[in-house]
Amino acid sequence: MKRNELLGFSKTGRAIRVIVSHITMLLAVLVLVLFVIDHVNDAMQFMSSRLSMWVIAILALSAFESAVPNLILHDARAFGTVISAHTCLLAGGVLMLFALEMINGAPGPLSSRTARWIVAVLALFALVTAVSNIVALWDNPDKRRRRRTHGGSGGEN
Amino acid sequence: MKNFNAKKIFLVVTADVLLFAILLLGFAWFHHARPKRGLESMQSFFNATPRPVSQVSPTPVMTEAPTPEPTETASASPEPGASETPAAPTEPPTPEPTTEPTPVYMDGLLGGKYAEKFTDGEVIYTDSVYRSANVCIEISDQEIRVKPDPGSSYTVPVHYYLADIYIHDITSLRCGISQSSNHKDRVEDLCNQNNGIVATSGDYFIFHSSGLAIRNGELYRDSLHPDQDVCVLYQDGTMETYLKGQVDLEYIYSKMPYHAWSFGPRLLENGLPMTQFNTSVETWNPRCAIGYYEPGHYCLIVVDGRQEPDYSYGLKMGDLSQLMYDLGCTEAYNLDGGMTAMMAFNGSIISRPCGGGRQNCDIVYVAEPLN
Repeated sequence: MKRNELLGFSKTGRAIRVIVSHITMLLAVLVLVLFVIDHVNDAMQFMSSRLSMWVIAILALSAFESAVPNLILHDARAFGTVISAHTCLLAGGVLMLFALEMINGAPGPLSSRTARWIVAVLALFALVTAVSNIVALWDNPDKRRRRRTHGGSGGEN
Repeated sequence: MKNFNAKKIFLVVTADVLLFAILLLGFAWFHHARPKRGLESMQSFFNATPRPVSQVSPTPVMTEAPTPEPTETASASPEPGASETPAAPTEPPTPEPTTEPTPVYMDGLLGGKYAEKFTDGEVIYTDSVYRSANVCIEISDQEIRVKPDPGSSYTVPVHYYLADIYIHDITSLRCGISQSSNHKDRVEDLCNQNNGIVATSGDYFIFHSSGLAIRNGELYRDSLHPDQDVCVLYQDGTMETYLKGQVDLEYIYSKMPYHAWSFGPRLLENGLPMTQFNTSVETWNPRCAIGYYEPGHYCLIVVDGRQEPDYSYGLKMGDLSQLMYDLGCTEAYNLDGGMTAMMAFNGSIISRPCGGGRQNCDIVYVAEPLN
């Protein structure tokens, strides 16, 4: 029931969620890769350059976009809700740091070592949120309903 | 149905992997392979006004100093309009202070010390020494043995090249920037293009998006990187290193910087070796560093590495700090190492960089003074 609620979006809304989740997943993996490289050699500035700041900001936005619907729809799966809530919090924090950085116009709070860890944790949470969304949205409820109506083999649920 | 799902999953995963590869390559290209814009100089701290070569100058040229005491040489420099004309080695236009034709900057940065290192005007250029009236460079090639850990019972070989540098004029210690389209050249090529005598890799500043960058008295970037220590060589020949978070740009600018490097970390604190560094690359690596003894006396060091077990392991940051201390430096700063760590002398690479070395965007080099 909850899953149907979660998937109870219009066709376009569902497609957007799928795309955003994929973008979040890709950006999260990218940021995690950058974090690992930066940890090995920070002289390359893979986590503190201007370009990285923008990548991190886009990740935070897409993670927010991926996680918020899960909270609004009150997904019953506690794990998913907790992860989504944390993703939202972290994404909001990172976006605030990004805004401060932009206002400063110079490397600031988001370039610090602590912020890098926060970003890495956000990327991890965003990755879990995105993957769980992709899995949850995998099966199209309309098609499943149609299959059931027309005597098809039905979905896996 | 299961077959259809498997196909769909395979397609989606493949598309994701491809997209990720494109994303990663795109990021790497824009972040690291393409030079940063805005390479033009923003501000000049140095006015390379040509001087007659025979003019003995008690202090290096310092013009437009914001400090209340202007130097004597500033008033003695030629008219601004004549600044484009290079100094003629013969027939000095201002005969006033000329007594002896050489040495040129006898009372320069070194204040008359180490006179035996310089010549009366002839140039001696061998495989390991360069001597002239203004510059003395002594190259040595050393092998030391280092314990992998303090408690280890064995040692490993480490090979390094040391350029001991004595200069009378600060303009002898310069930085070269690659002018090629991709801003990358090999150290020896950059050295030869700039008529350098000895050169090592710089701090790769063109490909970084932040970090104070001053080269040859020209300010290229004034944004500080929050995690990088800064090294500044001033026009009076002194060198100072600053820990991250303790960099005061106003102070630096007021002291007339000639170079500022942002790579690091700082290697000595109050002249003593350090154990904690602002870097994540503390382990064994090829290294490049600049050391300071006193105004006019510096050293450039390149430590070969990643060529174990017989030749050279490279150095940990702590060991490099200890080495700079053992050499007698009072300030020392780590520059770009790894495959980039190379030393060129007499027109060719003399160190043994791992993998043959690679191209770089900037070098630190020593040459005859500009004026």
